[in-house]
Amino acid sequence: MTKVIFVTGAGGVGKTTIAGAVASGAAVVGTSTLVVTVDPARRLAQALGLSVLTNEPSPVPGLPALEAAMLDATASWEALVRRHTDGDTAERLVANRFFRAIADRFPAGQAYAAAEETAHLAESGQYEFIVVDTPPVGGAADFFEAPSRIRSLVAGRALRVLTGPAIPGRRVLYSLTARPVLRLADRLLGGPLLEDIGEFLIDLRTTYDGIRARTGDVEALFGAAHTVVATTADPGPMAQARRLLSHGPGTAKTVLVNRTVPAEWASLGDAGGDPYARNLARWGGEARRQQQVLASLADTAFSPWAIPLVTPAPTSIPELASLVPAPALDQILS
Amino acid sequence: MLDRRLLIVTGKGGVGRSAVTAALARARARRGERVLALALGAGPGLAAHLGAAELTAVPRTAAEGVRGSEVVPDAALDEYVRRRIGANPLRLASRVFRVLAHAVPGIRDIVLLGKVVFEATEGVWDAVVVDAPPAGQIDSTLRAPSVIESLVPSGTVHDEAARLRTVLQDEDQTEIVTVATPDELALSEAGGVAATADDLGLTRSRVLIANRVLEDPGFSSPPPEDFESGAAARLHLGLRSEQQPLLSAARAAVHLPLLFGLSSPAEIAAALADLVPVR
Repeated sequence: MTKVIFVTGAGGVGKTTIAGAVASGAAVVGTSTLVVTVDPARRLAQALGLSVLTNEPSPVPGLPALEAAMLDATASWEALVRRHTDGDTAERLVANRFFRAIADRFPAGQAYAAAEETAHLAESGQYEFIVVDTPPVGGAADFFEAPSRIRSLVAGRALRVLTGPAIPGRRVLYSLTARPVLRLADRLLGGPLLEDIGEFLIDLRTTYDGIRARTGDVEALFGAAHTVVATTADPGPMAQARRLLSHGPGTAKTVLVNRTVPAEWASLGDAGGDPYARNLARWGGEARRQQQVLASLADTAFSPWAIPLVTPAPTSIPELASLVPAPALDQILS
Repeated sequence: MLDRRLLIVTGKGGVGRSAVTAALARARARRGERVLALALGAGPGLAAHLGAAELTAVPRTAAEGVRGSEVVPDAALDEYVRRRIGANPLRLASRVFRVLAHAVPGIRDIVLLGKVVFEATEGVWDAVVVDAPPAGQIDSTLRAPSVIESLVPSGTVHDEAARLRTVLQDEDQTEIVTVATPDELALSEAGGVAATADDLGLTRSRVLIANRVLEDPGFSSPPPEDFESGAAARLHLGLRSEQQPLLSAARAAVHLPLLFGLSSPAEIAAALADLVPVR
């Protein structure tokens, strides 16, 4: 059975690189692995020796067990609608000017489409490991909430409020303009939009059964996956990490703290010495600051693994593969 | 530069948006201005950088006389309905509107942005500094007025959208401040914000701030002996040599240094307030 590993965390902590590192670490021992990113980071493509990443998994040169793909998040919302309703309704939905306005502006839809695509790849059984670089949504936890958000969108709560408790057939909405609720909505919005929204919501409702069943699969996938919580030793990312550790799905979690400075520097250097000693004192201050921030994880059950700040950034598979400490990699892949 | 009434601060997640927002707010307040620092869907960072325990929908006094507050979506939606419809069937209207705003992301954006513009144009503040959504998401906020204007041919939401667009386009009132750390992704997302702003004809008053820039350490090669000071020197030189070409290509108007050893957000914001070029 395919094991799925989600790499999650605040923006800017190096999720994409860490996803590449975990996948490379799994694949160097010959285990069939796919790394999926939604982030058009050229660095990852470069480090993997690929000129571009596409929707189709492509083999990574020099590492036969590893394939890489980049999900196109903008096309995926449309694909989602097409997958879950009949052709005519899908055409109407996609052509609706309201849909076109929100299609590329609904991050939960894109996040959910990425999750559903991951479930699809996991079910194919082609890979032993699938490592997913999760898309940045509002907060890091949002990715895992995307299925329930999508469900509530298509469940038509808005539709029920507009038309009353019964889900009507098409076109019924227009005969209901006498309803006080609609008169109110009309004053708030302006008329023609309301018809568009009504039509949109009625059509969208047809995707509900498909999406409800599928969101269940996706949530089961989340629960069974291993979550790698990536962070840096900074207050914002650490707060996100704590939230993901207490509220994120599943129980198998590993914390990786990226860009750490050697702890032993904390007591070194001389702020009044020569330029080299002063430089070491400054970086020693950075080491102390990082340790203070890391201490805030002490009350959780998770002990973080440090990934050192390296320069230049990893540019090859062996460099990527050695980025994550071996015992941490064992914990993630076991 | 950095002297408009409405400063919208954005940038890739993790580059220090909240720190720069708080620093700009503090610097403006030090000039004796009445300043509101406003968090717009930006996470909890701003409160800490203002030295406040938390921010709420009601402005409260934080460090250096800056008032801090947060745009709370439900409160902003209710306030919008109250302003537009008046008191009558308020609860029903609020409920309908919340549901509509949930289903139509553009409407929600209009209302939240409307709250920001309301504060900036009401005359209570000399400066409203907004900790705005990160670069990846601010697109939908900035585009919302144009999208709604074209979707809704007339009516109150249409008029509100048109008014917001005018304010966002006014270079005398509004400044877009983009923060980037000197790395490829952060700078490319900053470029994305500029492209969106161009596309929408938004204010030409824009400032790119490079944050966490590594300064010249006073040496150009590692020391001969290979101890910890050598490792720290190589790290500093290596990171700096990655930053320098990116910085010279980006031509940021403001460079703020990495502040070594400072860990409290309030301390960082106070130190940055000394360094931002607010007269």
